Amino acid sequence: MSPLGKACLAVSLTCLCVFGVSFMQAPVVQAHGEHNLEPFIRMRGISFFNVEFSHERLAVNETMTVTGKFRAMNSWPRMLTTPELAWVGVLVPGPKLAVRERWVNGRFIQNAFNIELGALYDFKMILQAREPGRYHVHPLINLSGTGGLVGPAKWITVVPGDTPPSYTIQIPATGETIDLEHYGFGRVVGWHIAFGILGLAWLVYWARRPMLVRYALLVNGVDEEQITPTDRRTSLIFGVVLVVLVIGGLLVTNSGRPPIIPHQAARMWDLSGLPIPSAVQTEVKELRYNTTERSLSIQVEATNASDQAVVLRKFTTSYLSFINPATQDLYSDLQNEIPTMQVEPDGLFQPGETKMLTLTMQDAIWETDRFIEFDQPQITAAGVLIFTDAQPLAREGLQPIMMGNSREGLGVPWEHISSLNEVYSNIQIDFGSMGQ
Amino acid sequence: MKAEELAALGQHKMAKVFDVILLLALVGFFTVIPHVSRMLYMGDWDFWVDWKDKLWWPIAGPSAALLVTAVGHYLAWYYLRLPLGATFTAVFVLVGAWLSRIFSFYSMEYYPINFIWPATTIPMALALDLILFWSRSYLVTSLTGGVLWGVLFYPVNWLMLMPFLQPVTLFGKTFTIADLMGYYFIRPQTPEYLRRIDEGTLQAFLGQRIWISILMAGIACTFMYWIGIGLGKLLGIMPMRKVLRQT
Repeated sequence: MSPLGKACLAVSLTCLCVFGVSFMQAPVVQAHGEHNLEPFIRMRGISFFNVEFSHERLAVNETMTVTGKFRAMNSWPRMLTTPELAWVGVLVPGPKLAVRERWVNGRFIQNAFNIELGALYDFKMILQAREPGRYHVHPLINLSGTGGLVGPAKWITVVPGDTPPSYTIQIPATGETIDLEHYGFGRVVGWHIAFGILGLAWLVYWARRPMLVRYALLVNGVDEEQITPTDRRTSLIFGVVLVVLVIGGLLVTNSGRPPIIPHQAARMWDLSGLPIPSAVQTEVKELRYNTTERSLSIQVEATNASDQAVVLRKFTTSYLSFINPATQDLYSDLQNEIPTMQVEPDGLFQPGETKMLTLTMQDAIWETDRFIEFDQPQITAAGVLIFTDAQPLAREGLQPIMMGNSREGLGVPWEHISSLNEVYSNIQIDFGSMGQ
Repeated sequence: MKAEELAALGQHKMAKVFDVILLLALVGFFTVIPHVSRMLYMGDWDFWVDWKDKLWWPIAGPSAALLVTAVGHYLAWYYLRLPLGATFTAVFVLVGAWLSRIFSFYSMEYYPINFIWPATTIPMALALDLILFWSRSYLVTSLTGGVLWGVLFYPVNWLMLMPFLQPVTLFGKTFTIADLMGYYFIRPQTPEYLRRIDEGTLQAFLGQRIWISILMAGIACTFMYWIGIGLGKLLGIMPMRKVLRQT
């Protein structure tokens, strides 16, 4: 082997080894793009509240419920198209769980629905397990012109069931009960085979000819002579069979066929948002991010305009939530898992009282999950402040949801919520003592 | 070399080996390339049964499918005088499509196989080859075979689609069976509002808008046939001429 050949061989073997070792070292990837969207759209698009999953483990064919609320933010980034249509679903790798029902604000959702910025929506989905496995399941709101925005996720384990997945429904016109997993497949295969046999027979008839020689003959001017009377007769037979198959198929299929309709594209344009609790009026003064401490602080002037005392319990943005630990008795075993915020001054808001609040949320997740990025032309943040009544929340009244799987923390029972206030502003960045 | 001597060469073992190798290469090529072309230009209309509507699919489907099929059809006739190029492409693109549906959509993503069947173009391809064989004219083939390709696409595939268009009801809402499959077997990144299907137009033609789509498909496919032939000439004949001139 020449020196050049040896060098090439050595380089090739090295590349192969590097390639193989990189495969051995590669960890299993289980994410599906939660952090993919730009931070401004995740924070200023949809905020989720009180997302709950009824099951962590279920067998094939069993159902589970996913419920929660979401708000289409008024701080929607105006450089994007304002969304007109929304579609609620779950983010899973393929239909490992089938979506049997979708409900928004108590109405059954068939297709997409009209969404309004600033409106609040309540959703419920019934999922039916299809394939055993362990899946990271997010509620997902798709917005026209933008894409999918995900809520808090939970790992769901699906174990084998007693029967294979099945989705039966009755066709009203015929009374026939069908299973959507298999319906119509026999007919599809039958026609594919029928046309496939016809096509293959045509290919076999012609492809037996010596091709190289055929080309050489053609170059030498032997053209028409290569076609025989048998070829012409055979082509007629194929033509007749084709016509009979297509026209006969159409006649048979059309005769006595059940009623059919076009695909249904009806959208829901009259879905109103839920009433938004608004006991408190707020005015954002400043949002500031400290890169050294990785903390986001929000300064906001808040006035309690109601006749009840309220308390600030939670800040939520995208799929993140931070709770005010001073306002509720945390589960001691979850102390270190629940993201918390510091609120100054803390305590109750009496009716008519105005306070200048400063919320500080220190967490690496701002950067690890790409919520605050410094290479953006607009470095902004947004979220929702959740005020509740002054009733002490009983420990058992709190929903310890999403623990261990995401950052949702403790859900606040909806009946206690007095006010949802959106906060949004550009962020002032404190870059700390870089370079020292 | 005389024609008789050339014909006798066809019985030579090496000539047969060459033919087999050529056929295998063509099978590989026409399984992959038209499949990629269909995925790019027909895309979701070919993937999902709830996208197979009667406004867009009857036009986009045959037009996209004809592009590479016409290339195979033209080259087989130009080089070998064999009227099999279109059928060959249609058969093997379907093999590629089914392999993709079974090993990707079904095995990896777990979509029900009856939800993801591809459209067939074999009957129209056979008609295209037959018309070229009988007429020996690309012009006649484009005006009749091209039109037939577009016109027949929907009826031929309607044979398989029809049962999926039956109405069913869920919580008081009317779905077709295909719609309901799309509802249950979720495509998280292709939400329902992205479906490019008939949503109702003013081109109703007494409610029979399918005939407008079919007519439009016939016209579009006549032009697409010539684009395919141009592509075949550009990629399959002009480079070969250059090589032959140099040798």
